[in-house]
Amino acid sequence: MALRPTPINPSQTPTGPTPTLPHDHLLALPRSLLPLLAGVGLAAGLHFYVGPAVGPFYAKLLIDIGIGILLANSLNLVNGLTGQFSIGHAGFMAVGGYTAAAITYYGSMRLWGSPAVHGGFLGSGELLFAGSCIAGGLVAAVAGFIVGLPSLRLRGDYLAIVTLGFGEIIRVLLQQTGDVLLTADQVRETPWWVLPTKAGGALGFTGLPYYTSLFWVYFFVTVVLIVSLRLKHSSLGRAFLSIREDEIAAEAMGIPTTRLKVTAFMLAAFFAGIGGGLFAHEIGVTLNPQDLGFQKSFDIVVMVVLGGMGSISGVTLAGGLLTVLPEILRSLADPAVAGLAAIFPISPQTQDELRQVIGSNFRMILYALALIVMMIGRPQGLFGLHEIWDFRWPGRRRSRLSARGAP
Amino acid sequence: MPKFVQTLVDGLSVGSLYALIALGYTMVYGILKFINFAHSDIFVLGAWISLAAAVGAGWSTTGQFLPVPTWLWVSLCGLTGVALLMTAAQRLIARFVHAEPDRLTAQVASAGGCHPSPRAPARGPSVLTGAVRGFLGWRGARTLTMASLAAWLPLLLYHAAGAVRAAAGPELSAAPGGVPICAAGLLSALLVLLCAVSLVGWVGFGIERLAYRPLRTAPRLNVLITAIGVSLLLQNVGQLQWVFGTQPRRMPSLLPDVTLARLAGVNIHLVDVIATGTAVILMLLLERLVFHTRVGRAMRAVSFDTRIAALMGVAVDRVISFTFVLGSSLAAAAGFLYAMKYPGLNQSAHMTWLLLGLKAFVAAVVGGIGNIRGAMLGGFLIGLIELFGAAYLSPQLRDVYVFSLLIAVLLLRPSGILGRVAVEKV
Amino acid sequence: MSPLLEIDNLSLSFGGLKAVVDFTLRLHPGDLQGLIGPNGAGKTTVFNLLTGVYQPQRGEIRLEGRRLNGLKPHQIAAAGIARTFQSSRLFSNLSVLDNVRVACHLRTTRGLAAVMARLASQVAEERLIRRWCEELLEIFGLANRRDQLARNLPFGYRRRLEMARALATQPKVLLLDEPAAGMNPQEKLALRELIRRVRQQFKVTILLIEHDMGVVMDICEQITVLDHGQTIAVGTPQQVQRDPRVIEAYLGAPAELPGEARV
Repeated sequence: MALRPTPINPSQTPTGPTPTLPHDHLLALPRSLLPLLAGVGLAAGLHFYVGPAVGPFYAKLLIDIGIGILLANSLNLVNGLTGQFSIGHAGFMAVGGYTAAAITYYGSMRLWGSPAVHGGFLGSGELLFAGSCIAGGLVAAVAGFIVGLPSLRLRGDYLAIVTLGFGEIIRVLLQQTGDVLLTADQVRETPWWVLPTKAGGALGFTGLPYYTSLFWVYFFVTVVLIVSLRLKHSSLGRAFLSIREDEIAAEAMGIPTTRLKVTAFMLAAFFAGIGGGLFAHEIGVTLNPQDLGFQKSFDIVVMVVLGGMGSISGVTLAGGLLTVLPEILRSLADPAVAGLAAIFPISPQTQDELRQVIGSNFRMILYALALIVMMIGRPQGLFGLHEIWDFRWPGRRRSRLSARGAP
Repeated sequence: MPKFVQTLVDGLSVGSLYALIALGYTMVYGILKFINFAHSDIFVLGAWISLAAAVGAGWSTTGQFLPVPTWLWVSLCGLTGVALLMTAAQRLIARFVHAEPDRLTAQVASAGGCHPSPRAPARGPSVLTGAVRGFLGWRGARTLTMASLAAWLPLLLYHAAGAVRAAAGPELSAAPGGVPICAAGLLSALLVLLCAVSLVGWVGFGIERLAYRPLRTAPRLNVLITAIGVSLLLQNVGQLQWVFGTQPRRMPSLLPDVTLARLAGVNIHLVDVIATGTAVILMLLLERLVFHTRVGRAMRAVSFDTRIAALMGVAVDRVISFTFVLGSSLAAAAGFLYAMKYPGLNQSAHMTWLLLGLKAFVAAVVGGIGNIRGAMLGGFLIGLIELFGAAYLSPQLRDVYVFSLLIAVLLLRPSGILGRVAVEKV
Repeated sequence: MSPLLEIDNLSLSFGGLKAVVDFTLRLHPGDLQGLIGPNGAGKTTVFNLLTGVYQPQRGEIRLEGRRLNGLKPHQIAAAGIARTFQSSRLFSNLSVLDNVRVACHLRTTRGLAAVMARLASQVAEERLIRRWCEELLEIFGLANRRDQLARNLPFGYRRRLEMARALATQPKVLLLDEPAAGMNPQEKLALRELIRRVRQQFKVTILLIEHDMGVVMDICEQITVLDHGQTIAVGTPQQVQRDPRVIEAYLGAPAELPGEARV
């Protein structure tokens, strides 16, 4: 039984008549699309100028950073804005990634007879890829609905376990899939609904075309940032925040808490699915279920927690930083060990071990210690609920959540 | 028929282990109202420490007893000596010099109308001074004494295990057809178990003290995140070269490989009986502790309402620490028993451990989280469902059965089978 | 005048404890009624039943003829019943302005798509919400604390913010749960004025729970007295003050000494 709300009516107070809301016309649309166009321009700039200039290694790093930012912001919608604790986010990545992979791979086979990269920038191949990523996001959103609707009615701790379990179930199911079909004829003979079950199982979905480029990654990053910022500074965003603060009071003030929690969940899953699609088609990545397990989920959770749950700039910063952290640690390993060896007497064997530890395991130990210390010392993370532009910079009046508009 | 009985036996066996781990989850949830994600890693730690202790005590193929290094004994003696000295000094100071009461005593005294000693400072000390003073004062003495006692117990047990094992003779492990039945061997195995349990119990105590106690009043979400942090820490420290390494290791068999009986065409091994039997005995002991002793009553009081329990004179902090130690000890015992039954141990960050922990958690939820009998029931239920599903439906989907059960329970009866429905007061 | 809110035979028990038994009330538009009773009488439970936090086991709630049984709290808020809480439940990390703006959300018509595309109508609606909420804050004297975080508000202002927030939902019925709790006599005088003014300016019907008899007797037109879930008296403040059952509920029955006949 839905109740249609009556529109805002300031004539309840003794001032002014009831204004009506203006009609939206198409001509006004370009103004709201402006930030998106700016982002597209930035993405194109990165793709055509910065990418070739810094070389393939750093280009891939930039791509990884972009995907990290995308994932961190997607989880921020649920963990940060709405205050729910979801720790199986990589499961949505997997759903989206595999959907996108199946569409690109088998779609290419059907359309052009081979799964190789087809066409150039914004060619039919790339459009198929972009479409498949979005389709992956939509399927992930449906998964978010299926997982979210029952579990978001429950207490916070339970949601964590259910999302973790969901991630594991997805992993197990994906590991049961059959071998990837290799020839176009095989693909033509198989009915289309059987194709998604041929995803490579535990060995992974091999042979995917490498469509992920700086342009597409930062295009989707722009979208998620615009959506997040506009959402946070809107009435809907405040409704999400109220659920995070006090669910019972929010419900009493007319906020449909369960419905909004599921909405946030689906939105987050959508972007995670796109992130999965981008991840699947990245150079140097073979999409397999193990890579998208709880380890990845924790990585994303750490990004959101350290960045400040609810702060878009915070999680963006944290997402970028934590993506490059393994590289930093790896490059720091040698000089760090050399430095230590200069002070303490360490045998060469121990030096090797130290080098290896700093390069690999240490990252997770660092994460873990950072999480614990953060929670005890500064639980709001880097920025808390504020954005980086909300702080009192020298010479700038301090503004707050309510005063700041959205792009 | 034999398949049914075999599955039943395996299901009960695995289920008893799930139950032991689930008890830890449920006890911590009962008193602190949060899910201790790090609990399954305590279980893993128990298994690996059992391995390390067993190998060190002489159960490896070489039969060599690796004694505790001298420097460890010396430092431990030194630590204990310092602790005793500090305690003695504090007693002397308190007796002959009118010392400044510590802050809490001063507050309580002034609340009761008494005035603190004239030498009490007008302003509180800085954090650093306070820490140093605290360390040199009663608190420091007490901490050091407890720490040294904590360190002695596992070391002595380890040493005893090695000595007993050596008395049984080096050929024990190398005997053909598995380890023969031998009293010294069994005793040594028991000592290994106790050593692992005591050490891991103290790890649990340390975790609660350092990571969870500062967050006693924080929102639940923060504690959950900290628990994940602790879990990751345990996993990855365990994977370091100097700790347990990244390679799977095999737990030496401490028990004779004897078939005790043959029931409906199925061999019942000694290992199964001992594992299940020990688990059941521990559960019965816990039941007796929680429901028929004063300590148990204190635990239950804290689980109902922490503040009121404190007002009634229950030492809440101590009860909580005790609960953690208890839960961790049970998990460590489960780890030892698991290593007995499935000797191939994977490295500590491996997927299998996470799944085991999750399934034990599902057992706690299904039985009714916060309810001890529920955890026991849930453990056996999950074990049976998993193994019967694997045997009669599809072995690859064994995890899916358990998680589907979780979802079903959460949808239909979130408080679990034996749980109470909690109503939040608005 | 037909009643705005009709409550008939509302009943709820928690296990064996009968929290509310056969609660019946009629609220007419513009009424200012009080609900009093000793601690544990079931007053807040009645509020929780009215706002959908608990579902009644028996009885009916009708707002302007529409049956409200079984609706969720947010649906009841949309229908026009708003409340404040006994223990203040403000959104601590949001600013004062945002606290009030949250309560406007249920009257918005622009959905997720409009937000993401930042349509002109959505921007206009945001401006409208902001203006309306700033007016509300003016009325409640919170305008200069607009950007302060709710958790930093001094106590006296918190109550006002709670009321402002509830009124932002544009309710027909306002349920106030112990609005005078923790206030000094001066603040209570101001509160009485505020409640009267709110009723007149916002044209809401008010039902309030209160322990302070000064406040209740002064402003309420009709009082219902609860004890152990049962309604023991209904009437004007003067009638209720003199009712022997009410006196007994609050002060206890006169003690009976052995050998003495009861007067």
